[in-house]
Amino acid sequence: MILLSMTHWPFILGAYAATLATASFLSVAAAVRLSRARRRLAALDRRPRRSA
Amino acid sequence: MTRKSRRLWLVGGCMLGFSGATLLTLQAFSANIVFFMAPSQVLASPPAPGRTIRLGGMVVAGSLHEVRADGKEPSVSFSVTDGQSAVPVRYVGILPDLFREGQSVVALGAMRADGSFGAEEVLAKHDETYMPKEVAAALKKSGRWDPRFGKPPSAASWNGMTAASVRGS
Amino acid sequence: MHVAPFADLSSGTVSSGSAAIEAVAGPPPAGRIAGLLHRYANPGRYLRLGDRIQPFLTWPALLLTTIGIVWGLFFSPADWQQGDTVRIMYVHVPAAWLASLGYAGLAVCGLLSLVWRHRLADLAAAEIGPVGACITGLCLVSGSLWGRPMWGAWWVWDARLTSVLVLFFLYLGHVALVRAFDDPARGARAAAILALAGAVDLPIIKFSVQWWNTLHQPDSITLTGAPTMSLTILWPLLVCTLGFTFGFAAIVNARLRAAVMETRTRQLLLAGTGAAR
Repeated sequence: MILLSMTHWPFILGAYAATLATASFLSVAAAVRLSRARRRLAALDRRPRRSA
Repeated sequence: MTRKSRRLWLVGGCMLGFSGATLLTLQAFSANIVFFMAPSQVLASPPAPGRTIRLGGMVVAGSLHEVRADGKEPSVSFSVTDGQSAVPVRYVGILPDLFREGQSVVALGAMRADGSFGAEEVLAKHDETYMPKEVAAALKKSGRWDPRFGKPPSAASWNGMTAASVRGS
Repeated sequence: MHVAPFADLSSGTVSSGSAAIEAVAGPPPAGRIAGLLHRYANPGRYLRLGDRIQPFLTWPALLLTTIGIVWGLFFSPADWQQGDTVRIMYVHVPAAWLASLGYAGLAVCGLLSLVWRHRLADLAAAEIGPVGACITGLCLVSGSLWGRPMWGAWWVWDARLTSVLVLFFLYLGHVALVRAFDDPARGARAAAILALAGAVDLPIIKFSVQWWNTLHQPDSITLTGAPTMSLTILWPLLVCTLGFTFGFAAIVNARLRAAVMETRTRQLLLAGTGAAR
């Protein structure tokens, strides 16, 4: 009954693929958002401040 | 400061009350949260025949018998124990890969009139010990552990056995 | 790039109903920790600090995760009974750990927000929420992919799995609640209450495998006892966990910096139009 030689690589690769997908999604989203926020703020800062 | 500390006490009090309520609720539903019943529990308070329950425990060494009828799914019988009492189980179907004698299993099914448990589904429950194959083989060979009779010895006792040293011996 | 701290903005023109200024002009701190808290609860100060620590989060995350994954996939031994499938543990356990850690962070932010009214805590909670939800989803998916070949079931309603599913829904609820109100301050308040109330689930997750019979195995690594796993499996697991934790912190830090900058952009625009009128 003991099946020590079994491999379940589709499951293993599935788990690692899900990890890679989550990690890349989160980091790309964060990087894009960060650069956009920085660009917008920099554009605003370059304009002369009109407030007294 | 007083407003701040008042808010702190308020939040703390709410949390305390909420945790207490949750604790009491969990306590009350404890019997339903349990995923399976042990054989001694089943024998002490037998559920109504036909009522679906989960039976969990260790497969008794030497109790596993396979009945392979022609053209049918394999039928197996084995006993499940929690160390105090044992319940015989009948099951028709394919067992999970981890199923073996000495393994913890959880069977979904109902007690039958003859006192055996008719399982519709069998799940294997592995324990929290993770050890390389070579170490397990060496432990078995040296006679320090037989997987059919229970959990492996503590990790500290075999952690010194690296895969290389095992292969070399 | 230079970003002026928010203190510049406290000229009174930008009170958009939020408590952005309050964190800056807070009362004198009572103790040392409170002082430190007040110091870095200032979004401008945080922005400079966050800028500086970002590489110290990103690079260890990339390095440790790569080492841990390669170690776990190719150099750690197969388990005696689970075979290679045990390698799913190297992503499942860090994801599970971060799911709980992230929610603990959410709860701390909730407390800071409710009691001390730190605006930065609200921003941080809003950024931790989606990341935590993703990582909890990953924990559930990887666990399912582990459970099918090992237990024989994709999913069972045992106490451990169910309490983690509840955690996932708490995260989703938090994400939705933050964005559910027109007034962001009200959304933040409601989300903070949910974060604190939901923290009750954390000890339930932790002790579910001890309090009740579960199909899920008990913890292998505990504070009180020796780990019940081979060191050859424990080491890559620890490296992966550390790497994932750095990665989580790096992503949350980057998102929080973006959020602070976005808030500042909004306030500048608001101030600009106010001055123009």
